Amino acid sequence: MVLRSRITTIDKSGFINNKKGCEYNDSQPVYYEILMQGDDMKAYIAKRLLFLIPMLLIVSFLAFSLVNLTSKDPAADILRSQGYPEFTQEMIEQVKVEYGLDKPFLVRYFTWLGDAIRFDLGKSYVKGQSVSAMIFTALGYTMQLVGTTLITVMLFALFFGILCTIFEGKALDITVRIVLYIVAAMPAFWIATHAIWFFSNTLHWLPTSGVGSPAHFVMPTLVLSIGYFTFYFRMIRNSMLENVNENYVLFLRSSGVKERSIMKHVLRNSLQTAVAAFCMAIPGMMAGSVIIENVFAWPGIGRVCVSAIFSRDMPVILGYILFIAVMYCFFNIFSDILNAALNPRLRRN
Amino acid sequence: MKFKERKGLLSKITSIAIIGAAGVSLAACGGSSGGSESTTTTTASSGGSTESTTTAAATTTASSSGSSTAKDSLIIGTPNDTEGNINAHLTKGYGMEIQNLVFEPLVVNEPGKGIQPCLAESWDVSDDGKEYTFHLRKDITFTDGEPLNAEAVKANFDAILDNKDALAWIASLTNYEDCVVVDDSTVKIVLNAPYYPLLEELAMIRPFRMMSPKSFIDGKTKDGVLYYAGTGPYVWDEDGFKEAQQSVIKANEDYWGGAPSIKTVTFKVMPSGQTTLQAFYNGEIDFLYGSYETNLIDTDAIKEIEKDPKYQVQYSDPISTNFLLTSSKPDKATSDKNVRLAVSYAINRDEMAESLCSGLDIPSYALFSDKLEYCDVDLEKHEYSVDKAKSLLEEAGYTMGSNGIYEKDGQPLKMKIAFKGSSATNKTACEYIQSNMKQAGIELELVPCDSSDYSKVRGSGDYELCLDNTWGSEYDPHCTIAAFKKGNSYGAAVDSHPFYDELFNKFQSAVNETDMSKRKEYWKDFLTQMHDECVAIPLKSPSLCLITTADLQGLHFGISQYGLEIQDYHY
Repeated sequence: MVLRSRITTIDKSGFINNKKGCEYNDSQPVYYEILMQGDDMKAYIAKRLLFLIPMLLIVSFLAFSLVNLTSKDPAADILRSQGYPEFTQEMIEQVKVEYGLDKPFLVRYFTWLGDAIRFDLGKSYVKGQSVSAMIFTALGYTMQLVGTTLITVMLFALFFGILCTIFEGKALDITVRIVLYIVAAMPAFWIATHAIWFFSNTLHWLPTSGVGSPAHFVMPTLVLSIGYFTFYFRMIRNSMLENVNENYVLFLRSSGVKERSIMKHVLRNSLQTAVAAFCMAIPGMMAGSVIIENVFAWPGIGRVCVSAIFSRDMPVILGYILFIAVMYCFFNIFSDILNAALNPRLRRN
Repeated sequence: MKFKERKGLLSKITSIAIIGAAGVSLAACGGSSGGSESTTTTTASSGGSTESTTTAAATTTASSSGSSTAKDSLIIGTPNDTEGNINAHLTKGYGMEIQNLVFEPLVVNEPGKGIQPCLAESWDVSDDGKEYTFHLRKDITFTDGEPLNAEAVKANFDAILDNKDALAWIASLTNYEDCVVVDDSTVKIVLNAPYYPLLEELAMIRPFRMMSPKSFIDGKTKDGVLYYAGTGPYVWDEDGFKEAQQSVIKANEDYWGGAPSIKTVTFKVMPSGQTTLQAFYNGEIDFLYGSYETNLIDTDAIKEIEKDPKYQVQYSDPISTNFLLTSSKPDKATSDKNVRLAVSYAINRDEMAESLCSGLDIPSYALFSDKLEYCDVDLEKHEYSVDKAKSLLEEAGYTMGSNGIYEKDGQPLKMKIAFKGSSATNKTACEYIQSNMKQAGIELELVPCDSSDYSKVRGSGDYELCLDNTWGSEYDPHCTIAAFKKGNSYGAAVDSHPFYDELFNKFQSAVNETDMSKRKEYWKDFLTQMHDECVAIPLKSPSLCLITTADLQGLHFGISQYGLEIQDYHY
């Protein structure tokens, strides 16, 4: 009876809950849970999305406060960034009124927040362009790079993770781990410069920098992915080793479940830990592509931010910080939801 | 044993993963012809770089058929983006090279020749030096078809004047009274006081360049223009511009001075100096220029390129001078002339230029190069001498302390040097000066500032030394010196000195003087006093370095460091 119930659970849910669920004597709770899956999931997502509101409020307030603290004399910064080499106190006062800098801090914060909610992040002091437009134009390029990097990281992490699991403790496993450990320790810009020298100038396979063709993606993608897959492959390897040795694998095999189906469960269960970390890597890639974008002359948001920092273009810096913070919040929740989908016990909690 | 048990399962997983990874490898090599062998050869990337890069360059020259076979285009690597804004009436942004080629002034300033005709074929200056009458060339049109006549010139001056606040640093604008249309091809600029550098300022790359009045918005340009149309040898290519990637200009086939031989010029944005060098070797860009300060590329790399017959490297005359401002504030040690002189004598300029910049910068013993007009003045050379520096400090009342630092009234001689911290070259220079000062018994503290703080510190005089540089050949000496006036950016270096009024009366006399020989005399007196008082301590002068392929001919330098004369280049 107990055994049959467990098999039912597997068939209905499409995946094994995890080893602890299988170890319970009473199979009933697991069964009910799966029946309630749809409602549970909705409630869970709603709860997480509601949690986003206070989180974003705190983040936006911190970003606004910090950016405002860094500028001792924003009106002078504005004049300077607009190309006025010398200016009078009168001009400073005029700018303060024009940009609302004469108003109290909280009033400025709520005005800015109100605009930000409507996707209006203000205008660049230097260019006079809409900050939202500047960020979203550059974001297209960054997202292309993040997208290809994401695929590359997944494939390489899976490949090396699985390879090292198969050859656990063998020379290949040890060599791969040592080599990737060393590679992970190398600074990205250093690898980037050498990659350009080798692939562009020695082999003449790839363009050194810029955008425009699929070939332009290769080096930035590979260099950006190095820092990530060298970390995730370890996570997958460890997780797989843990899962392959579990009783449920033995149990499934002895129950006559097909190898393909078992493989699906093992991979799925192994990926659970990696998924959360992997989701959080996406905003990390967006924010961390600054160096790669500079080396490879990639016109993404990292470069927008760097040039804004150099010219003290506060609305752009603030817009960038807010955007990246929102991305972190969003992907944090997304990873929670994904995890909950993969692991029903999380929903119950 | 365990492995055997799961062999069947894992072999399937492995085969899927291998297929996936192979897919990525293929995708990675998709844009190239090299196939998937890349992973086997990566380890060979270290060692022998010089040799390999040279070989690479050789292959590139042969293989980069795309742009080079046509031999009428030029791709220039530049660290900054024009951001699509080349409004020549504004003095901000990075498009100066392009502004210089698209828009033209009434007169130009040529190295060694001085002011020469451009859109104005001749000009007269009234005896009192207050009226400048320009006779325009006839039959010149803007690239949008509008004629360049006296009305167009007046419209330009009116638009520039409308933005006077932002252009306060241009002294001629404070003297400017009116622009009068005399007839269709004659225009007169009226000043309220004689001001000889007017012609020099009119020749600057911005803001006095002529744009088509039809492109103005309600007769104004300070908030932008409808489109860009000038009279220059090149035309702005709106479609070629890609934000943060490239700006393109195309030859103006109807240019009054003859259509340029180079038909398309692309300014490719390359933020990293190292990538720029690799892109140059790979034939993706064929022209680089800049100075040591701009971190163009590694100085050693320039030396390597120089040896290669496939390339050419050219150096300009000094384009500006790096110098130290000395605070005149009474509470600062540098308010004492002997201390200022001691600092000047303690700096080993020759070694500094050689060791920091591999000889790309030359040591300077005067604030302005003697090649500049009015600046060929005999000045006392402050030759490096630690002994002289020490004796000057002792003359100023300092005694050597036990730790090798001079003291006065029990207080060690500590100084602060402010500099823009964003530049690595500034930091290296300050560290070098710090070691020089230590040898002379002065403790120097480095104060890196961001650009906003730097302006504040420099303006307030809250420093003993402050690293800066002169404005550049097209602005020197008058614009740089004007910045030393009270309330201006360098003012704190001189405003508290008792000789301030005497010194700046000489400057005022020089710029107002209409008689050339008297003007030279005023400048000589001014520059001599400025140097003797050691208000600004010159260090070294950067030159502009131009790197390109050997087959590009007609290279020469304009007066401005941004003045690339591409219309004269040809293959």
